[in-house]
Amino acid sequence: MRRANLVVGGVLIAVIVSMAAVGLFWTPFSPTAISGPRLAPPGWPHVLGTDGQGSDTASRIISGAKLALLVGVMSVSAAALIGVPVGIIAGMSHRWVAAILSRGADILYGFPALLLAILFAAAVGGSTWTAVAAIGIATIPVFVRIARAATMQVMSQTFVEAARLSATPPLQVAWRHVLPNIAPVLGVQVSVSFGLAILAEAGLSYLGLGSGSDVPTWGRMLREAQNELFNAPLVALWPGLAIAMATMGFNLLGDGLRDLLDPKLREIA
Amino acid sequence: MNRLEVTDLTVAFGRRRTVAVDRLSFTLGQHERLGIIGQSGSGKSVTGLAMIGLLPENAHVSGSILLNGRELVGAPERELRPLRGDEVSMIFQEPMTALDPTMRVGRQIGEVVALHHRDRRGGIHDEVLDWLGRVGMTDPERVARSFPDELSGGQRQRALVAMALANEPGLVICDEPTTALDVIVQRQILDLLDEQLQGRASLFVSHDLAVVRQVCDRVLVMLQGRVVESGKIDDIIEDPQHPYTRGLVAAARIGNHPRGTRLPTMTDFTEGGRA
Repeated sequence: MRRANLVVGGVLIAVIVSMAAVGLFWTPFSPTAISGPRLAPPGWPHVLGTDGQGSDTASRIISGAKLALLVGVMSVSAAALIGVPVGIIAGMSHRWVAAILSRGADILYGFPALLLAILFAAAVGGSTWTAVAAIGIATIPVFVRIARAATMQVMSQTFVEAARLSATPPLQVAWRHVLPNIAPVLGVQVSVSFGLAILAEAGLSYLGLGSGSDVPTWGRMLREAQNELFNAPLVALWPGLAIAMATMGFNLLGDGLRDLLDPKLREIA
Repeated sequence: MNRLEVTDLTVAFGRRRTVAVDRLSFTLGQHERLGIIGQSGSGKSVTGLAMIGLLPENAHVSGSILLNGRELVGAPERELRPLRGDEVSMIFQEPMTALDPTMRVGRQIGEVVALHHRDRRGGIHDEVLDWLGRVGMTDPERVARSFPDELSGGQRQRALVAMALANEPGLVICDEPTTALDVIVQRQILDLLDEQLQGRASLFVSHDLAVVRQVCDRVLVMLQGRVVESGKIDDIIEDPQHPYTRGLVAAARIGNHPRGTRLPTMTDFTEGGRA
């Protein structure tokens, strides 16, 4: 089907987002309190069963969606707000400025989010915010690179030359000409990075480097379920499924947007 | 005073100093039009860009370019900037890439107008519509609201002409302004240019002798960075001196070539392609 990835991605994200929205006001049970027997199978009133503590799994999943999206929004927007201007400057400036900025981004690229998170956890103790900072910083160079490459492409177009010709100041060229022209590429990258950020957050909280123990996250649920994997395999399934859905949703949406915005692919389809 | 006086202009690129323009000299009167003709790589476009200080960073320029008596070679960017648009502007070859696809045409022209007339913000829209009308748009309001991809090639080129002329520059560089257009639209644009370039000086870069003949009185023929022939265009077509020019003129008269015989190529005139 044409644009199947866009539709499937959109639906998956809609499910996650509505879960998070509902979770802001209401969950079936308290996501942190003991509300039933331990390791109850799916049924009523515990739709997805309970975990090893006797907390309601469905409530914890809903509550975790909130946190996953929060970390995604915070880290990706921080990375884009820093990375995109740097990338545009690198793409528009003289050779040596561009070289310094790009090499800086390359050095940053060498630090994976995990390493940064361990660093922060060791320095100030792990929390939701150290996870956001670690993922955000690790995502900056991705935006620098993509913004720079796209900017250079725009800068080689004649209309930029025409703008220079009429003595348009560089800041105005960046704002009026470069940004609107690279926006589609950035949009795709935001979506893809969002999926990766959610995956990274789950990884960090799985390792205990993210949010505190009082906050239910999908990663933490996965680790707790690991202890009971042979007694109650279903307990591990739900958070795993949630992580997979969110990551896949944003990746498919990104892919779909890319196809939609690529005129060459559009004509063939 | 001449509008433009170019003496021994040499442009070389990169570390190896590949020479694109070699000791070029010419003058251009206040209301004169000069054609520069030559094939790809002959240095004609580089010459046009040099007049406006828009060469890439790795270009080495020497010699002298006097615009209204002011030296452009070696002048710092902040001195060149106010000249652009006000005293000299350019009409580009490719009307699709010369307009920003994300910006409405009216706004793009308006920005050029606004940059040079900061004092009267209110009149900018009217001035844009006025210019669109002057370049022959039948529905200026609609064109101003359109994005470039909603216009035809000829309309885009007209919009570019409006953009280049919006600040009434004394010198207009036309870099193959009709190359991307079909013959009928080319004709219309040439008529428009002929009319709009009245009272200004212009440099008309092209590879098409017939096009240059329609708008210019004088022409320079360039080959490999050098001027091989210059003079009145009618004289040159009538009696070309340089073998390369003879080739160009013969190519333009291909219609008169006897049927059934091999068409002439440039090597027939220049032995191995070199002058």
